[in-house]
Amino acid sequence: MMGLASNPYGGAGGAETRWVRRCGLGALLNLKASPSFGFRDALRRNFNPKCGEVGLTSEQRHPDLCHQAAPTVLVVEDEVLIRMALAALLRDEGFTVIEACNADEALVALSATSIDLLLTDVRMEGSMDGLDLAAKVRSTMPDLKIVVVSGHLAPDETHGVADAFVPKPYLAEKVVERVKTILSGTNFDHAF
Amino acid sequence: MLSDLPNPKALSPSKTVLIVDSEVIVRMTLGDYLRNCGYRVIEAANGEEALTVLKDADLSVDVTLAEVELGGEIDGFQLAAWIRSRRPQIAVILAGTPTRAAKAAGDLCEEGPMMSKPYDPQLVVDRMKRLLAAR
Repeated sequence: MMGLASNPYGGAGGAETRWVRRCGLGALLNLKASPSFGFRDALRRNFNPKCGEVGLTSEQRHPDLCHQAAPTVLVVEDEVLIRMALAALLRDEGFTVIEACNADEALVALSATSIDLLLTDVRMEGSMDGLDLAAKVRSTMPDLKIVVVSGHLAPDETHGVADAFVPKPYLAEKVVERVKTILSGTNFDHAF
Repeated sequence: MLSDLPNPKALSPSKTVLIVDSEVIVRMTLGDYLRNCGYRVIEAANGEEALTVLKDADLSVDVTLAEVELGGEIDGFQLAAWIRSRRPQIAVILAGTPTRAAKAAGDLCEEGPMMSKPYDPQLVVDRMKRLLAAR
């Protein structure tokens, strides 16, 4: 199991932001009180200096809630039970997981915190489907790893927008293995 | 302030909390906090997802923490009423800042009135512990 105490994948930066997300509870939980500010602005303005302010040493951060961040995976899936199961498995493997029910929520999460890997289904309600989401993210955040899962696409349809394609139905364990492989930088085939 | 929050390691719950909130950032943050406190957490983005979870025979939920004003066709009040009638063993905490039906929320919840949002994490945990201890 990948421990939370280390980040073997050396994710795509953003450790401080993850500290904000993990430790700036007061700020995040009070976001509604400041609707005129974006999430990122709210995070910065309400940063708790005891926990994760940029520039503080690790000794100055809150000892109980702050620890070196694990890679963060954003799971975008409109079926709650599938999303829940996949997220639980990823958390068991030591990943930090954000759950979004559609592309719109995913974009909110992407704008608010640092993500290492986007794992998205394709067919979803909302302003765009998972493939459009992947294309948008690839164009705006090219370093972010992307895995697309679908029962309705051929692997070559995700070339250029995803680092891997997993056909449905899938074993959740295999998806997790694929996530670990991609984040570790290992060479892999595009599809199973 | 974070210094006022309970030490997560000092808590020893092993109950399952269903968070129902239409804002991904709120779900994510509150979910992370409750997991750090030792709770199992299931996240639902709306009332329909919450019902899917609650109807699943393989899942056992001890507490549902639901926002009142959810997107979709089922709001927090309707969800709470469904739970009260179909899953009375599940404790319900409603949250939000609605102008209506504060008394109705109090009637539905075991220890009304509703919690107000934005959440105070300490109050959330305290409320859940009181509800669970009374069962």
